[in-house]
Formats: sequence, C-alpha cells, structure tokens
Amino acid sequence: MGMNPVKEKQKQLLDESSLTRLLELGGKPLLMRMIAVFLEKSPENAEKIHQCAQRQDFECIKAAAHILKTQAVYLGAMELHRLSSQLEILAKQHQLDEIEKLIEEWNSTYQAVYAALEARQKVLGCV
Amino acid sequence: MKKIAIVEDNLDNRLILNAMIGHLYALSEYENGPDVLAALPELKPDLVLLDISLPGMDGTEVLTQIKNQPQFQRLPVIALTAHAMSGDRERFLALGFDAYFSKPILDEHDLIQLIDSLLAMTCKEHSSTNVSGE
Repeated sequence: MGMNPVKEKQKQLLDESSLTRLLELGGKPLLMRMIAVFLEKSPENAEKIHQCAQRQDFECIKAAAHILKTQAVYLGAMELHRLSSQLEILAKQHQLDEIEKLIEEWNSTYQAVYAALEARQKVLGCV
Repeated sequence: MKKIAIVEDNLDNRLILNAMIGHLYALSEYENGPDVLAALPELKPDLVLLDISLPGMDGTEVLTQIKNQPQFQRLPVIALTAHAMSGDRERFLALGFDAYFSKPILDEHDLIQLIDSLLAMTCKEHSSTNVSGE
C-alpha cells in the first residue's frame, strides 16, 4: 500500500532528520525558537521577494532569498531551500523572466512550509 | 573558558552556533562590524567567527580593521561564508583570515576541531614568544 498522499507531501516539505538534529542540538527550546523565528521573520522576506521582483531590484531579491534559504535548510524544508537557492542564483544573474517563472512555485512551497511549521509549532506546544 | 566573538547578522546562524558550541566557549554575539570593533578592546576574545556578508561594513573590511590594531594582529579570525566554491580557501587566507568555514553550519565537530586547532596554535605562539622573550 502506498503512502497517504497528504503525508507524502508533508514528508517532502519537512525533512524529519533535520528537525531531529535541532532537537539533539538544543532540545525543544531550540526547535521551538527556530520555528518561531521562521514564522515571525520569513513573511517579511517572502513579501520582499514579490515586491523586489516587481521593481526589478535584483540585490533585494538576492538578499531575501538568501535569508530564506538559510532558514529553510536548518528546518529541513529542502524544497524551499532548493527553490530559494535558485532564486538567489537567478537574481545574481539578473534573469527576471526566469525569476518570474519560478516565483509561483516558490510561493506555493513557501506557503505550504509555513503552514506545516505552524502546525508543528502547535503540536510541540502541546507536548 | 576561551572567549569567542561571533559576528553574524543572521539570527538562525547565531542560534545554531550557540547550540553547537555555546557549552564549550564563552560566546559574545554581534550583528555587525562596528559593534564588534567597539567591543574588542574590552572583550579581548581568543578567536573571532566573522561572517563575510555583513550589512554595511562587510567581513573583509572588519577583518582589516581588526588586524590593523597591534594587540589583535595575531587574533585568529575564521571567515563564515555561504560562498563555498573552489579556490575560496586560498582567497580567504590571502585576505588575512586564518581559516574559513562554510555555511549553513551543519557539522559542529568540524567547526570545533577548527576552532581548537587555531586556539592551540595561538597558545603555542604565545608560549614560544614568552620563552624567547625571557
């Protein structure tokens, strides 16, 4: 029997081994803090990516994508990490067309990761 | 406990560094170059972990200003960089860094080994200077 599609999608969104690693490093307080920082700070950078693309500010896209890339990798959001890295590279190369093509996929992944981490925060808060 | 100054504007990296090495060294954190430069004379750290891509004054400029001060010429400084490409090691050493470590910081063992090797080297230099200076 195959894995439940919803669970499979969640598995792709967050790599459990990365979250376990944070728990090993700093226990629940570190994991909770890293999630809280993402939930609190990432919307500003996510919004920046849209706004900066609209005004073709490549330095600004690069900086915002760079921060999101780092947050994503520590929290095991590997697909978001991959897409943010791609955005950063495209911004360095001033490839506006490619950036615009990628932003939709990046945004839906970002929203899904955000929701998954929000859900995880609630669960962690209960145990 | 040896004192390490961390200069890093990214909060996630600071949280990770604290979790990885905060129990081994006394860490002081700074978000930018001017803040660490102002704190150095009083802090007198044994080592600095310095991000290259800092807002405003970048890491290489901070390094220059640190090394221009006679009392910190031999202070070991490790470059923290997300730009891990071939030739980076040589480039950062040529700039005057003692070593570099690439981000994201995923392996604390490698980082601790690097820090301890630089601290040991400085300690040896101090010992030989003291002996020869007698």
